[in-house]
Amino acid sequence: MRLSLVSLIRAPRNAKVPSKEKLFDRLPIFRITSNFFGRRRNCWSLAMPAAQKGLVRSAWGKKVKGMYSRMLRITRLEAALHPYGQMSYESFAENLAKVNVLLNKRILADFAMLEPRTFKAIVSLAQKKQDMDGETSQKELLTRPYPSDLVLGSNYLKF
Amino acid sequence: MPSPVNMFNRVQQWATFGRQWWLFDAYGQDPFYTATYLRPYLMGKFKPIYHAMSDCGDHVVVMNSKYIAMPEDKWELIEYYHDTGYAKGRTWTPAWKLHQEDPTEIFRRTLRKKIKTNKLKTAITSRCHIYPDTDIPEDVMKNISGQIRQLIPLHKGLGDYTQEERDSFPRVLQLPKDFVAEPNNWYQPKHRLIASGMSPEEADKLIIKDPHPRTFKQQVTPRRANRSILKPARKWLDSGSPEIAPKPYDTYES
Repeated sequence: MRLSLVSLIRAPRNAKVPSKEKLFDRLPIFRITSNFFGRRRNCWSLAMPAAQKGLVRSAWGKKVKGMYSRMLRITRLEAALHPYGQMSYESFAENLAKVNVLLNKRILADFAMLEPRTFKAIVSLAQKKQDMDGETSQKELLTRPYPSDLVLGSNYLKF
Repeated sequence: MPSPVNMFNRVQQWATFGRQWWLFDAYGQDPFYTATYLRPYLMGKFKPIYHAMSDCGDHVVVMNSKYIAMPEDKWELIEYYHDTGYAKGRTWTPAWKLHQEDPTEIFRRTLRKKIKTNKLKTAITSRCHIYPDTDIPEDVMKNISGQIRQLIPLHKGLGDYTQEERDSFPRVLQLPKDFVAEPNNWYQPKHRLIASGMSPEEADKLIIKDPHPRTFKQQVTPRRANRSILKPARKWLDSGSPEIAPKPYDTYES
């Protein structure tokens, strides 16, 4: 058995350790599999394909992350617009663009979660533009003065 | 960007992450139509902090599930499946029979089907509290903070019109008080006509027979039910309390 730093860190005293040249090539992949399950963590013939699959899946996930976060923000904005007369997200975005407000979805969704009063100001802007163009439906006009969120209603929307 | 949590903001933060309790009156409603409408309340889709795997749904308390109305002839055609696991334990019960035994089961099953199969499905379905009448326990009534609107407007029967509305209704003809209308014999069943003195051969000629008599076991071509025709459960229920029990229709006597 040859002495090396790696053999001291990874293996016990009487273990069979591969040569230094082999370890040098294989260490970066064992670092990827350091938190995997079972023999895929430490055995080379199982760790190599497991690491390759993990890298492929993470690359796929980076593409999908943008799509998924976009979908999530739209659902959250639709939810935040519900007490303001059951307004649809389409009309909200359309009227904001007409008024030259170019805020992106990330910031609008964060406002809806964390700063509801600025979000109310933005929504009232879009509502006024919609009323001026005459595109509000009768359903929205009837449901606007009765917001559905009543637990937070007294201090949340009436100010 | 977010404000710090201090003694002034503490309760506001609880309110955003808290679960609300909603009330829904299912009197004369279609369960299939309302299940899609109640689903976002249970999933938490009306909250800006929504995420599918974060358990952010609300409670929904449903009352008057005994007085549900199903479209057209679904009371007879729909069958609910149950398997005990033992031999000869499989049963298919029609909706009208299940409603007699347990009036909350139909609504519970329709809600359960509309919810996505997920690890959170059992948690979400346990948050629907269904009661057949308006008898709701006090523990539950204390928690309720809001009400959901009904989708289908309440049906108005003959007994729901007041005498003033009936008198003021516009009429084309005004019949005299001595007027006696002849009965529609084609509409009556056969045994009544024979009891009133008619021969069975004449009765057969008068009666219009149903060319497609349906039973729940018989196979019927699948077609989409007309949702505007809603039939309530009065035919198969005992008369409830006089305050809430609806008045009978004339057309359901046969």
